[in-house]
Amino acid sequence: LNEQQLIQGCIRNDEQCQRLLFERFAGKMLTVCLRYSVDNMEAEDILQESFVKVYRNLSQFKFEGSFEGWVRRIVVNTALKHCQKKKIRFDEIKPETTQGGSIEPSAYTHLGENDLMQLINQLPEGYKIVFNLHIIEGYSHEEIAEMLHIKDSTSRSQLVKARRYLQNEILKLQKTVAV
Amino acid sequence: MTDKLFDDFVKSKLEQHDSGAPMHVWERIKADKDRKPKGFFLWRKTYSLLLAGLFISGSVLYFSLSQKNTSVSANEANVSPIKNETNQQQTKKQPTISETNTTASVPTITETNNEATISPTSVSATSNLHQSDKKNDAGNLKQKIKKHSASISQSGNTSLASNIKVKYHPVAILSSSSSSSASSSSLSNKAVDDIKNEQTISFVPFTLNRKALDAFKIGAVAMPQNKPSCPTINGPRRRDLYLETYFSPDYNVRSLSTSGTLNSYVVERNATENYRTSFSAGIRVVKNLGEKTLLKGGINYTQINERLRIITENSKQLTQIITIRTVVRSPGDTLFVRDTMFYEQSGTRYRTTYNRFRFIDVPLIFSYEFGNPELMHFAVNAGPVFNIVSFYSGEVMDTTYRPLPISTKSGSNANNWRSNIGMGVFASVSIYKKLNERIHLFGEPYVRYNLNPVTQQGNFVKQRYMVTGMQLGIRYNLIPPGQRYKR
Repeated sequence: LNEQQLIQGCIRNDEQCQRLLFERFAGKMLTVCLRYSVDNMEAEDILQESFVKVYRNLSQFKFEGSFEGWVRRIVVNTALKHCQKKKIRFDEIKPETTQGGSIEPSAYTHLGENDLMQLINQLPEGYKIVFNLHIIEGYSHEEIAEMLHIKDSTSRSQLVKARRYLQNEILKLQKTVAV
Repeated sequence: MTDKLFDDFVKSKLEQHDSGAPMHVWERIKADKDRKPKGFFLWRKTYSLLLAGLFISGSVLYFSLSQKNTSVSANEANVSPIKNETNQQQTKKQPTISETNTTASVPTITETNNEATISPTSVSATSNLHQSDKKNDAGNLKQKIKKHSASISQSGNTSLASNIKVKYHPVAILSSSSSSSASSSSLSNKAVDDIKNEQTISFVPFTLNRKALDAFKIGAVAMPQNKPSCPTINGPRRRDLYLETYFSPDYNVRSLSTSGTLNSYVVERNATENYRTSFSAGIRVVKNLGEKTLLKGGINYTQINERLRIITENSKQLTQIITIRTVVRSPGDTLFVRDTMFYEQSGTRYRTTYNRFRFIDVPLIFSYEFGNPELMHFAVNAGPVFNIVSFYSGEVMDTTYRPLPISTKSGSNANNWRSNIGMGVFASVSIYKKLNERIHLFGEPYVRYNLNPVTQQGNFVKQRYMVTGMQLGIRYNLIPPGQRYKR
């Protein structure tokens, strides 16, 4: 089944197609959910809610862009709603952890996806969301500001600090491995 | 540049990263996807039934009251022109008395339904005003009455003359003051016309016709069916009857206290239970007691929604899986193989329960209104609220932090709650905006304090609610605009 047939099957409420659609996208979308959630259980809750929304609103998909992008957008929005329920705090990280310049690519190229996920999950809630939205999802600072009801400048500063924090953590990790 | 490289690296690594489809989530989605989304608050049959019940009882009440009003108004419609004339004559009466200082009062015998009436005020008023002419007036009066009796007898209406009943009537003053020299017959004719539409104020024994007086005994004469009622001294009385229906988004203030040294339990309860939403709705009948005071009574439904979330870290779950396989080795030789497998999962368990506390009450509220009813008026309300029944669904934690279902059975555990929380105190301020002659919109911020906790007496924990909210509703006047004031 190609993507279009799969979508049309889902619109017809064909459970087989719905299951196939889930199997095709759930893995990637779970990664998205994990990046925004505190733990696996919350990520699964977000995934469940997102897919229910996808099935209910599939008829609104116009076949004009990437279907995966459409699903991802729903997942991100659902994850953000979950985060907003918890009231995101844009905490400040201690100054020493955000200092330091950029690091060389050799310092992080060996990192795997799970390592990166772990590092991102260590970030404070506000930093994590801005970092995910801008770097991975590709939203502009203006869009992030609108989505999170914050200023553009807050989004920018949170991103810079998040990036510095991650780079410092990578350097620390590298030193630990070297020892 | 290195930042850009770092960003690209992270994006390339994570954007398409697949964590593997969790198929157990699919089972949850399958169960959830076909469930209809919840509506505003009518997602339960009970709410629909409750609202339908309120609507039907309101309609029945309205129709029964409106029919009663129609029959009353039909009677009053016959009376109303008389009332109006009475008013006009009463307003004329006072200046007439002052003008008749020099004129002789000529009480007039008038005929109405085989009755002759004479105004008492004419005699008393003029007697006060003309102390010196008292005897002359009395003589004139006697003469006039005799003359009129004679004229009635001459006209052959003997039975009428014999059954004359004597009354004093204010009309006599009007007649006498307008022309003291006019003939008594013309006066009496005018008075007869007037008296037909007039209202008797009181009877005073009159010595002119002994027979008539003897005949006039309470019960001897049948009262006319449409006899107009006496006007009150204080003028027309308000007689409004309203039906009010409202909905209120509420906010609850919960107080939780323990009798013993279980502060940590209270802290844990407060940490795990969150207030979510609450609302109330109701219908009530409002009757005015005085010009500005009203009494409100009706039925009120309140629902408080809370969430209990218990997080158990390092929780272990043991799952037993029994697989039965059928092996057919040859015809007639079938083997059933049972494999039993256990697997243990450990992790953090989140247990969420949505608690709903429902109360049905009867409020009895006294209200004082002020302001301009034509534009916007206000009211201050207060009174007791009597709980009829309280019912609960959900769970609360006991002292060992285990969730227990809330029950109305008697006991002293944290989950033993009252089925009737008794009396509460209600206070509010209302703002009414008139939409038309019968309909008002109102907003009523209120506070209600329940005197008793929801937990049972003797329970080590006392859980009490104070409800605040903003009732928004419609007031409908069941009395039509023309009949709101009664004499």
